Amino acid sequence: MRPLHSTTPDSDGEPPGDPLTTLLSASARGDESSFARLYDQTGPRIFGLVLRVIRDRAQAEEVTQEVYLDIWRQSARFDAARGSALSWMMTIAHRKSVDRVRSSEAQSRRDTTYDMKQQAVPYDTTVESAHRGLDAERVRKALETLTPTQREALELAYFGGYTHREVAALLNLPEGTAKTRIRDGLIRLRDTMGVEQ
Amino acid sequence: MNDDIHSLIGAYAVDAVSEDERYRFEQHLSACTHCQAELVGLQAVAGSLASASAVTPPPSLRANILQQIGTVRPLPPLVSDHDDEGDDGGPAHDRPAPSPVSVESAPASIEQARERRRRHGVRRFVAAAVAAAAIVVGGLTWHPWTGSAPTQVSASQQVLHASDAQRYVKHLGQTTATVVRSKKLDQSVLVADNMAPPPAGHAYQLWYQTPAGKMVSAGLMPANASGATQTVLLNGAADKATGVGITVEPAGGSTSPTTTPVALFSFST
Ligand SMILES: [Zn+2]
Repeated sequence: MRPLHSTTPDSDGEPPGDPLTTLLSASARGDESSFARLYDQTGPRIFGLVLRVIRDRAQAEEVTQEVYLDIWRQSARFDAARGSALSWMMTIAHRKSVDRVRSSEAQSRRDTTYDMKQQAVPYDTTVESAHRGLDAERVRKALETLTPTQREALELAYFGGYTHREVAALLNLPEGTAKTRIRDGLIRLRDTMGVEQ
Repeated sequence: MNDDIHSLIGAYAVDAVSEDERYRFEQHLSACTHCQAELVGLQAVAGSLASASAVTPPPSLRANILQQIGTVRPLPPLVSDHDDEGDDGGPAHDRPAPSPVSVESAPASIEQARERRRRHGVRRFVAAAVAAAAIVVGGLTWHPWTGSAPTQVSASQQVLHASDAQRYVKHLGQTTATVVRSKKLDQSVLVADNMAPPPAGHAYQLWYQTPAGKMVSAGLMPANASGATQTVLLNGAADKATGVGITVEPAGGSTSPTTTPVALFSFST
């Protein structure tokens, strides 16, 4: 499973080569066993992301359940021309996680000090299998090519669930510059990892 | 201003935007092919950031999810009202994407032939789901899971993407409710995220407020799975309305509000 694969918009008429795409289209037709396989192949990635953003395990389980229900409901609306199946699923999971942390204002996760400490120990969670390890290694290496500010801004945004304005405030950047750091960081990662355009 | 919105692409790809920015960027996205192409790569990169964060979920989660999907039919593919392709044998993903991954508002991208095949294949799910979900709203029967849904979605999409669309947002705990009105189209749409289900035997009813201050029913919100985003086209004329209200009413609805609104949107600002 290569998470960075993206299908080009002109892959006109080709049968989808990505096994996750096949499982998604079967799910769209109501095939529950295909969906179960889709879950088995993506569960740790999705749950890991949700847990990392939300931090609270019980809430992360709840949101992961919502994410998969949404993936099931929306499966017919996945469009391979707009990215890989995994990327689509991660996008749904991330948005729901961010929505959840933003709506739980009372949570202690909004404690800035705690948050910055968390950033100091990235990528220490369980790696599920060898190929995921490889992906992780590629990502880790690519992250090293970012400037510290780009990396911090990106991690606060993606894992912290902060808006670019909040990121700017947390990093004492002038307002409006965090979004540039985030964009530049992503573009650099994309180019380093050779994500297809 | 356009340059400014263009530069939000990175923040948008990692959901580091406010709701207003998200909305404005998606508007921009629907017209900017450059951003559409770039977003695919940036979202893939964003997703890969979590590749080292995988954690095995508890087995109970799998069981819950598989149990839950058994009770919900997948939404139909979005199909265009006006079939401009006209052939039955075409491939599934042959239409250029008008905008990139958008969780709830993905535009039509699958052609009619596939839709026909799909309807055939999932008929048994339709039967079960319709029984659970069809709700009669005034003269309008809302069948979220049948062929009427694409038409509803399409009408809603027209409002959401109207050039004169105005947007009114309310945050209610974990729920975000947004009313989008197009005076030109004389219609409005409610987009509700994470709306808690109404109390048993009740439904959420939508109301237009008239210039005279009267509340006129604009339909009921369809019952839906919790946590999902619901997009509801309001019944009635939006142009002259001065606001929209949501109340909890006995299932089937009331002729005028019987409870204090859970949300009120004023069009006056
Ligand atoms: Zn653009």
